[in-house]
Amino acid sequence: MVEERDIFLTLKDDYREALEHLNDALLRLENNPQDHDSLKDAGRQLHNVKGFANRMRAPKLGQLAHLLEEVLASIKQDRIPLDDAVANLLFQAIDIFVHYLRTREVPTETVAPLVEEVEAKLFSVMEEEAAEQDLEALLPDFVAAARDNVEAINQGLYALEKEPSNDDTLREVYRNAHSLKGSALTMGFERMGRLAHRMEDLFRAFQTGHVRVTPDACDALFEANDAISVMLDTTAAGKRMRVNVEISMARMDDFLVETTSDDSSDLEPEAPPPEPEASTPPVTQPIDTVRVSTSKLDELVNLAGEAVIAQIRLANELGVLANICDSWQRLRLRAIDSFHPAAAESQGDMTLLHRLMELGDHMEQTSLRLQESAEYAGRCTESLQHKSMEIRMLPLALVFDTLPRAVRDLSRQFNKQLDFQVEGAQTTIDKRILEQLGDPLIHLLRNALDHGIESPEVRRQSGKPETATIRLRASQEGDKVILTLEDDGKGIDPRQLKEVAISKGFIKESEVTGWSEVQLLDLIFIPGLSTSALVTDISGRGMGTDVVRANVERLKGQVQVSSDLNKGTRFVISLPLTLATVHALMVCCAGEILAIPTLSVLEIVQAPTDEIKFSQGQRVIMLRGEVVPVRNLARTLGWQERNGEMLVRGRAMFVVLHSGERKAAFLVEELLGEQEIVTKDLGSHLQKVKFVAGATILGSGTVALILDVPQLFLQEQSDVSHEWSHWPTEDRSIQSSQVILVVDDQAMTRQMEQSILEAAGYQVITAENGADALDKLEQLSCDLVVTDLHMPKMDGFTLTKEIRDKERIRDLPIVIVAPTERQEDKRRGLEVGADAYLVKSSFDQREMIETIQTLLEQETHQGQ
Amino acid sequence: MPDSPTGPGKKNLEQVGRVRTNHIGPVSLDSPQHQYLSFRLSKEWYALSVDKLVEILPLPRITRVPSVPDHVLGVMNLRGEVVSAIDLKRFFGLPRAAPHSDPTIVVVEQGEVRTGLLVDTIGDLMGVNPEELNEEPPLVGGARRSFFQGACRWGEVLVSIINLETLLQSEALFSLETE
Repeated sequence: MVEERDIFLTLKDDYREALEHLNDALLRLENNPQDHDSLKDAGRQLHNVKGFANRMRAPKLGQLAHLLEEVLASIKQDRIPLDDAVANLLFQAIDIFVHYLRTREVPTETVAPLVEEVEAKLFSVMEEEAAEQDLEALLPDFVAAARDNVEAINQGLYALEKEPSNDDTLREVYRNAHSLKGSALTMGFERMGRLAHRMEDLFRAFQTGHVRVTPDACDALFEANDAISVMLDTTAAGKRMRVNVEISMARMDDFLVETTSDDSSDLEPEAPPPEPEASTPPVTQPIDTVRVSTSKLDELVNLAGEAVIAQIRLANELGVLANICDSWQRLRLRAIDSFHPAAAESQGDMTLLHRLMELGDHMEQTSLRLQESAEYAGRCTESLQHKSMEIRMLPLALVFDTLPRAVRDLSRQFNKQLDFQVEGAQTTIDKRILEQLGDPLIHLLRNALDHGIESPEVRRQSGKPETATIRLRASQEGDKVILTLEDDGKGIDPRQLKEVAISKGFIKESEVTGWSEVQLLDLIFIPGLSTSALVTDISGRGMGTDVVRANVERLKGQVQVSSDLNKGTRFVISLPLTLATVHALMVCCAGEILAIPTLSVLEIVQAPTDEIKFSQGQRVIMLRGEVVPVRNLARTLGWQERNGEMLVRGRAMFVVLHSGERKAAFLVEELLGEQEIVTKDLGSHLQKVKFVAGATILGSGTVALILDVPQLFLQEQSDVSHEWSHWPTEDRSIQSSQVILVVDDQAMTRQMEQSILEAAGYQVITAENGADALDKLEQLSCDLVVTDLHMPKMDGFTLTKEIRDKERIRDLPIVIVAPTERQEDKRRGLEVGADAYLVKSSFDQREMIETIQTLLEQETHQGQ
Repeated sequence: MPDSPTGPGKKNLEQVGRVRTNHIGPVSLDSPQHQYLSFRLSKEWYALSVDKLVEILPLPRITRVPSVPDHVLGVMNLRGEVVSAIDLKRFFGLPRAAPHSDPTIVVVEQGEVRTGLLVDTIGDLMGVNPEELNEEPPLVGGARRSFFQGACRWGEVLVSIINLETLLQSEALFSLETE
């Protein structure tokens, strides 16, 4: 739960804005009482103020705002004239609201009389015309106001359960029930009025201490409140539905029998007479927030993404320009060598040469300046993208805060005692993801309560505390948000799950032989399986776990389950921070570039083709003792693979992907590197294309598709055999004895570089950082080092410097692979002694291999 | 304006744009003519209303999309927007071979959605009175009658006028199942 104070700080700007608007609108109204727009505006703002007051549990202010809303409504209906007296009331109220904003204190002594005065005003009018009201016209206003009452009562009841003796809360729920009763009766909704009246009685009894605030009593009130909510829905929809209120009434009566009915509707003891307060106009504070529609924000994020793409394209072109300058430099030196002044045939030749030199110098300087500006622009666009995405990030509290009520109802429904704990609600996540998190969470909670958690008796018998615990935790890890939902219930038995899945025909016995417990547990997500009644009972997991997975995967996330029998079950949902961009591994497949979200990538493997075995009707490969099925990505997508070059050499490049517990090694043609990509949809015609989660536009301007990894695993296994043509075996003659040390703190990058280098025939050893690399270099002999720049413990610069300082290895060629093109890094890298500087984002494996080949050849020549 | 679309004369976008603006601007009452852009698919001539026309592009790089019907060529980048590209010839089941093909993408807009249509050659802009659409389109290949508003004579040839609305809303256009 977020602290009250935090809520105040978060909402206070909106509140201040509302007050300012309200003030302006009232001023306009005073000048022109017929200004209906201002009237409407004022009403809206008052409504906001009321919402804020209720949220902040300041019932007096809420009541005041509510009454004023009614005054405005009456003005609108020409029932009350907007004269000086009324205007004074309104401005007095604004002063009180502003006072609250400044101090967070409710000036009770001024509020109470004002409330009375406003009530009197309204009452007098109502009496005059009570008979002749056009109820139909008031209906929308009534429903809106009544819904606010219902919501406030809900909130209040929930708070009461936590803190049964909170007088403020008691007063607030009482007041809401009271005004609900009043307005319902005024509107002629007799049953609703009676129900609200009974609620009011019960709240009154709470206040006076005649009835204790117990969960059961609250339950009765929740029920009555829900009944009113249903009535409101049907009323608003223009329908009449017979909602049976008698049961709810009777339940509340059970608590009231002991008490004498007290029909007095006085709110609280009289306050002392008001003291005059220095009023300040509320318009002096600066506006520091702006409300923007989310579609505008999306546009902004998209545009920022476009700017980043344009920037990458620009950087590429500048790289070409830099190469041209390099070539020019070399030509220049040769030209100077060959054109000796003496050898020049004429003065004209010399002048021409000079002019050319000048032009060249000019070009080079311009190129350098351009590079600098482009780098600066690059940093700007990058942070523009970053900032614009941050705007859409919202705290998980917005969803988490709604859960306790749901959990409470569920635990009562299933007769379970539960302590529901929430941690990490302040973690932020993309609004688009947040919006869709509620359903899967409720689903999992319901399942846990229904099936996972034992009844109090069973728990007692098995030596557990009667009150079960469900803990929901959220945290950010890198570019992921991890949600963990853990219960201490009976857990899931993987063996039983397997048996049911087989007996129900969801899987074949042969398919699951040798599966680990974790893999078996994953069966819970098979569509249809978890809905079967039998499984529900034994698995401890009911309806639609597959729906949960589908929901999470639609958000580009993953959900996994683990369980200890009789100790509990844990669901882990990992989600991307944002849907606007995704971190992806770029691969080449059938000549197309595909982006694979790294959340789904386990590792990159490069293996000789003869290590691919045929087992139980499918190709498999052994990875650290584990049998992993091998799939041909191009064929899976229905394309013709173009693995010619790789396969002729007898080596294959795999990306090991996973969806839940299922994994497979997918054959690809080429790895192109990792990058942050801006996601776009395929256009409305192609909303739901199999295997495709979206698209992105590459620096080159072409569209690359983003793979929907879970879909790859849904593909029927039967056609896997079509995925293969022939596999030539490895031609070992190209194996080189040269050893390359790859240094990078990211496992994925290490693997990728390792794969590329091994594919080119080098042997590879890896290190996680500079210090690790130096250790490895002490023990092993190696021919070349490929290093990242920024790493923990020791960065690439220091590593390079250290190598250059060590006698034994000082001639080792060093290639820096930097995350971004930065002149400063490049200069520094070359200064400390690196031989080449490549950029990861524009990383082309051919460029890397060529650079390494060149360096190693030079080395051999020098060595000879 | 030449009175026959048989010539390979490809009209540039400026001309289309101008006609379009002229068209959108106040049209004089005594000229109920409507403007159509004609193009050739294989050997047949077709046309579509310039109202729906966004732009004409030389064939760009198109990214293939898996598990879509053959006539969906894939997606392309239209100034930062991902737009799908349709091979009308394949959709109508016309022969692949086309004499003097100058493959061009015609980008059209239906609702808010843009789509690229691959055609063999762009022809003339035709001004046609709605009453003149009195011929029946020949329905070569697998084309359905509902995909056309009608057809008309334009000089020597018969030009079928495509009804973009029904064409682009056709289930068969983007989904495998209903084909």
